[in-house]
Amino acid sequence: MVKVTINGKEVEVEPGKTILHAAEKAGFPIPTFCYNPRMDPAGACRICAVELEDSKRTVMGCITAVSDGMKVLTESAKVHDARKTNLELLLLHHPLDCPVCDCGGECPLQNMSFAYGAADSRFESHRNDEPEDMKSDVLVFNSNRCILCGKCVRICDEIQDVHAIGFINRGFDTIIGPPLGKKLDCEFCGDCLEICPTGAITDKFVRYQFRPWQMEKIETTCSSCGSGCRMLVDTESEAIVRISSQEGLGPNEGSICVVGRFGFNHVQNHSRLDKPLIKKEHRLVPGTWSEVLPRIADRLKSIVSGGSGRVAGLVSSRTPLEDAFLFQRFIRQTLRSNYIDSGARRGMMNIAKPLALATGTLRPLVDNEDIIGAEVIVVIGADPAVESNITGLAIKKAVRKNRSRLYLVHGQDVSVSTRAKEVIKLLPNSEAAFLELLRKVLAAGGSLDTASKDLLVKIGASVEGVENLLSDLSSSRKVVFVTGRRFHHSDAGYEASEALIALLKERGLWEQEGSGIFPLPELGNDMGVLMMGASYEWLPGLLDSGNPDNRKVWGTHWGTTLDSPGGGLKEILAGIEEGKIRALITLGENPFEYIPDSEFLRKTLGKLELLVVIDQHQTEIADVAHFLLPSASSFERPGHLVSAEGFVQPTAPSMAYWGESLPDAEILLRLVRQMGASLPFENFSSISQEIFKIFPDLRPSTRNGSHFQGKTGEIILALPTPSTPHKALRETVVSKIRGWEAGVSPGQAPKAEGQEPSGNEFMFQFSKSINHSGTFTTHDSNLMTIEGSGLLRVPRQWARKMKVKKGNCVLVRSAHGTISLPVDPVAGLSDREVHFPIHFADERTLALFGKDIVWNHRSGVPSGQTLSVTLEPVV
Amino acid sequence: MEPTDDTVHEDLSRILAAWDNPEQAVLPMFHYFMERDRHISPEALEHIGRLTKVSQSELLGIGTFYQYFSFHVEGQHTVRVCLTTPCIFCGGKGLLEAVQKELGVGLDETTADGQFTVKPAQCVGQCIDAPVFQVDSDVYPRATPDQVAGLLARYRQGTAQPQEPVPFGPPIANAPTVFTGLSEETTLWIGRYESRDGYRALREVLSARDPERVIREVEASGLAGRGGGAFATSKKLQAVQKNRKPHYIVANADEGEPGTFKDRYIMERDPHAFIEGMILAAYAIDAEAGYIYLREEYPHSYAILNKALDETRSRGFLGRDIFGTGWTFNIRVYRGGGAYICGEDSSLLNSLEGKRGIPRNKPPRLSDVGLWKSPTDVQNVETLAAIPPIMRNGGPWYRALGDDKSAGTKLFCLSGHINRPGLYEVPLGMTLREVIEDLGRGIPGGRALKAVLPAGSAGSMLYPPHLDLNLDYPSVRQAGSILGAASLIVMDDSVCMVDLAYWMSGFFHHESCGQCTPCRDGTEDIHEVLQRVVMGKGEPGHLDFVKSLGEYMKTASICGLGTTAPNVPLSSIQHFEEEWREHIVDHRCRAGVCPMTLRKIVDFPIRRSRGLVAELPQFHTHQP
Repeated sequence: MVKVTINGKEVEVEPGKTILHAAEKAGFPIPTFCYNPRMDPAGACRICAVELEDSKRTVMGCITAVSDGMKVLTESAKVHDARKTNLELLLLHHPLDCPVCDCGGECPLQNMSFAYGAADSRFESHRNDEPEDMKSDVLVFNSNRCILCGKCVRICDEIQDVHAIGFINRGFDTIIGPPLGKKLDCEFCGDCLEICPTGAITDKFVRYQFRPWQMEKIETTCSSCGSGCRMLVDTESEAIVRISSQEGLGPNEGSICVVGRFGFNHVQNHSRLDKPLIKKEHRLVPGTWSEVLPRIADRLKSIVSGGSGRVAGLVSSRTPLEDAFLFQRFIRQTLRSNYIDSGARRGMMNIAKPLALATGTLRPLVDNEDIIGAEVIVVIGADPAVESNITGLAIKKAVRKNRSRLYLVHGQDVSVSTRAKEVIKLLPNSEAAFLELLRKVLAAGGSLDTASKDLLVKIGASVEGVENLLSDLSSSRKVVFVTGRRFHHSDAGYEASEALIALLKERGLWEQEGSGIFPLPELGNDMGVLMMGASYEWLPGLLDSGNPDNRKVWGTHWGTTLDSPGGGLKEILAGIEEGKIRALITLGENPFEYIPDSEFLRKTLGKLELLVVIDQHQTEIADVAHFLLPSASSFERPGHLVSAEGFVQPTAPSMAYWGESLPDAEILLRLVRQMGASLPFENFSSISQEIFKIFPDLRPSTRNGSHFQGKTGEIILALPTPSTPHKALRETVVSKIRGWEAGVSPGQAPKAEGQEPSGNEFMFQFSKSINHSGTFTTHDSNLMTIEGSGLLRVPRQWARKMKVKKGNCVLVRSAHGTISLPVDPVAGLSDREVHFPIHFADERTLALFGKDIVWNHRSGVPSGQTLSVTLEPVV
Repeated sequence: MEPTDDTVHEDLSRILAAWDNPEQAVLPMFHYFMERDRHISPEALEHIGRLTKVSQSELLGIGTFYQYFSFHVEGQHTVRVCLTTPCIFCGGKGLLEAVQKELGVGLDETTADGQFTVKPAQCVGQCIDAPVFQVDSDVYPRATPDQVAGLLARYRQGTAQPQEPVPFGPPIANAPTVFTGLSEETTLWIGRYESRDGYRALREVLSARDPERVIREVEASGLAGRGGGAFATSKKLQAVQKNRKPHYIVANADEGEPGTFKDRYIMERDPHAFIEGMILAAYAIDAEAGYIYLREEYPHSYAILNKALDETRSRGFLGRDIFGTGWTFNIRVYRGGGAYICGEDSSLLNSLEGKRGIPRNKPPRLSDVGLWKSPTDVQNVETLAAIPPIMRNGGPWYRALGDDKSAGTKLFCLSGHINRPGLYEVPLGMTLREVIEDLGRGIPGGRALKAVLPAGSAGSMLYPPHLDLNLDYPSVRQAGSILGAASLIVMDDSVCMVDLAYWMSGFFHHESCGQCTPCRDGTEDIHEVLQRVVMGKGEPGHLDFVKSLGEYMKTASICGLGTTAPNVPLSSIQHFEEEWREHIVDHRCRAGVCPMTLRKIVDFPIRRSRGLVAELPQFHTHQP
């Protein structure tokens, strides 16, 4: 440790730290413009000048390392003058249009000028007066207000690794912007907007629509993906104006992606349900809660009185812990049924079930910090930057900062590809065969024999790439496998997961600190919903519902008996067909989004005596629903979400309920009361308390917890320390995994390797777009401005050959139908694959898949997400 | 984008393969397109991006940083008129006027017929023969306004023959002791160089496998950095030597200081002394590779150096396993893009890595964290060229050539209002009077000495009272200035000090990299104030403003450019306050130089829309 005196106060800091850190520690924060704790210091703005007491020299706090006995003055007259002159220079040509600048009121330049009294200048000159760059739909670049701190360029390079904006020109002529006067083309994370200390970069969506000091800032968790980003909702009169973040806040350290930052308008869009609707004479007509709830309650009561297992429930994976817990208890206890399925089950069960069986937990053993510290990162069937943006950032950082070796096993280049040591292209549905091969080869010493090479060629993988991967896997101790959508949805996803778990076991990686599997959930609370037992096979706490002892545990606790075997979506649809299941309650879930045969679905659901749909928007299911209840969004109600890293973080209500909508839990509790039944919850917080009491490890945890003081324009200099543990306990997992064996498949296993499309065929697959999350965001005006329609991503080389340009239509023909889709030629896609964003998949697109639903027989989730198609340009 | 034709792709691939990493190939690729298309088109930018994996925004950032790259089509010929000291007060303004009148366009503009683009030049190192202008890579020294029309007509008609790459200017003006090769009229190619004991020292050191000997001799000689820093060369070598490998050696041939041309003389007349010195230094620190970072303003030096390096390679002094020592080493010439800031060592390394040439914060020193974060020895051309004679004659011999404060001799570039401008080898410690009166034969036309710029544009000025000052590093520093690269620009009483400060401030404003606030905005604002003053719009408060701004720039700027930029205005205000007051209060220029009106002002640097520069390709759709 080094002793430094700051303004007469002695502090001890680690050697190598800067004066800035020491001063912060001593309680004398130094102002900065270009410094950011997450990035390498630039030392460009020179506002952090401090004086060395002995030599009377002025040095820069952000780049000068402390030395023992150093005496620093941070607010001496000399320092004050230097800062004042600096600000005078910055303001000399600054337009001073603060009254109409969106940044006015939360502007560090403004605050600093106020603090140092740099209002008068001794020289009057021209004010910068360049036209603003308005080409982008999202951001406005105003070079007049720019003080060239360069943080936006650096965050785009160093943190986001996108390199969309840069410095242009030299000296005083320097401006910042996208290249060659083109329209900004990037991931639209908005980090540059957030980090800009002036109004040089502003948000086009909300330009001139707010004054920062009139807004209330409410900290919440984003539910759009599993990253668990903490962000601030800026509201005025209980309506959302914009979403911002705070440097260093949350597991995301202040970065949020395009969906998190701009995707809030769908909750205040007039397409939202604002009243309960009742089906009367084949029409949905508005009703009131007092009219609707008794009718539903009566019908439910009469159905339930006929016996158990007559009602089914579907729940969305965005639902917070509380709502999911209440929903399954409502179905299981009040409605006496175990027919429960959720989006989380569909999205994750292929990996969740084997992981739970093997390790006893769904919480990961590794988090983003472990990814940053990993020697080898294998991303398999995932597009991290798109599926869980913050994990994408962690991977980029790992490679850039720690030279981690990154392998990407996927069918296309994704945004982390440029950082990958090898990109191994794999045919769809080949993950199981690939991992099984890796496992066997590693067990046999690590070299590929002819048969293995043949298999690799067959599934489209590069032999050389795999050889490198094998040698890195054999020599490394810190290995993280990141799995995602393509992996979880593959036909043999369950088997692939087992192969992966076995591979880690055989390599002894489960015991290795820093090694593990990191699955990327599909939506905000996949893991939490499963942990709460909102799926038929698991009671809360991942207890197997097929085991009578487990049922007794919960039955006793709830003062009831749980006896029905129940089932998931497959069994629910069969039950409705048979007439056994009479009622269905869906909570934010819409099977029309993923069951290809909509006609069958409409017919089946039409047989129900009661279909209650609780949702924010009217979807296809409304056609057959009897009641449509408006539910409050994640911006309106409280709750807790479990992130991919295992953090349990709260969402906070920030806007008023939309119309007459109510939180899901409130609707369910009212329904329970109306039925004359009782659940021991008076209100929402009593559900939270119950969950935290039963599952103490689910008590809220986060990284870089809240430190927002509510002052606008505040500058945070240091990252706060990490908080409570959120990962699974390695010892428990290790002891559990010893007794684990990959299950023997009963019946016929799905083909573990994908098939190469023949002739001129392509493999059609759904993928996630970076600009959307689920189908919610297709109601979002902001995100629809950025990406407003579903374009079929086709290989660029094919498009060139066929002379097809972006936006041109092609006929997509499968064995079951033909549709015309506009295309987007992309580089880096496998020659034989085409991808379509799932958010825009409608009935016509799904109809390509035909009528048969293929279910993974081990996990019971729908598979068959790929199919062969031919493409034909429309002339 | 349509696929560019195959030859371009082949050429670019060759450039890519020739450099150490893709990023480094960016500047050479820019040069390639400038020579081929006279601009860098959006397609070219995309092509470069695909090959180098450098993003479009970064590429544009790099390209727009340097003056010699253009993103819109330029004229068939580029006319560059030197607008720095001493050219500017030796007739440069008249020359610019003549060029503009002849072509009918202003600075940074292209004639309607697409034949000529007029640009400012930032010292092309021909200060002996000021004023100078350049057409493409042809240099026209001692140009007079009435020559302009005839010269340009030859280019318009296509009858102008490109100049041969030969040494420009007269040989060194006095009898040299150390840099004997500079007395030659023509380039000293390897045969003649070797016949004068050239490469003997290198042969000896290599065959004895004794790298330490180089460091011992250099240490004994007291040789110090001749680029202006005057840091002990041996210490720099030792600092790199003890650091982790790999090591790099870089020769700073970005001689941008107005009034300086000594490195050009060495590279064009005696390239092998420089190369031998560089190899010796490289061997001493066991360098992995060597680079000569050459400024784009010296096209003739580029050709000569490359030929000389080929000769050296053919003799086996460069390449694999040199003379059986097992040491592999090569030197390559890297062309800059026209940026004064790249003469600053850390900016130079950034530029050499293919980035924007912005300076780095120090510490760390470059001998610890240099090129690609490896320990790097950056030496001036003159320093390296002094090593072979030191090795041949011994360190003590060299030390004895100087005075007790500074060892050895120094090349002095004498220019401006002097009877015999030229390059002189001067033992350090000679007085200013001796230099001006004995070597330079005094001031022409019997006029009086007004001031001397001892270090190009960077240092404070020396005045008649300093005539008996000993010109060595410590003495000049004591007098409140710096000796720097010893480019003495002599000014007689026809020079207006305010006008001089104005042009200097314009130069720095043009050359500031824009990274740090004090320098970026400081150079801009000082320039604006001075422009007002020479336009007759000065206000009394302006002087204090310039003074305080100057002091702030000196303490807070990142690099030497920002800290020295205010030196000339500050020292001129200090010594000629009366003259300043006349300008500001009486709106009168006693030398009759300043226009004192808005109309006659030569606006340099050109004020233009910053956005327009960024968006040029879209705006310039017409092809001349």
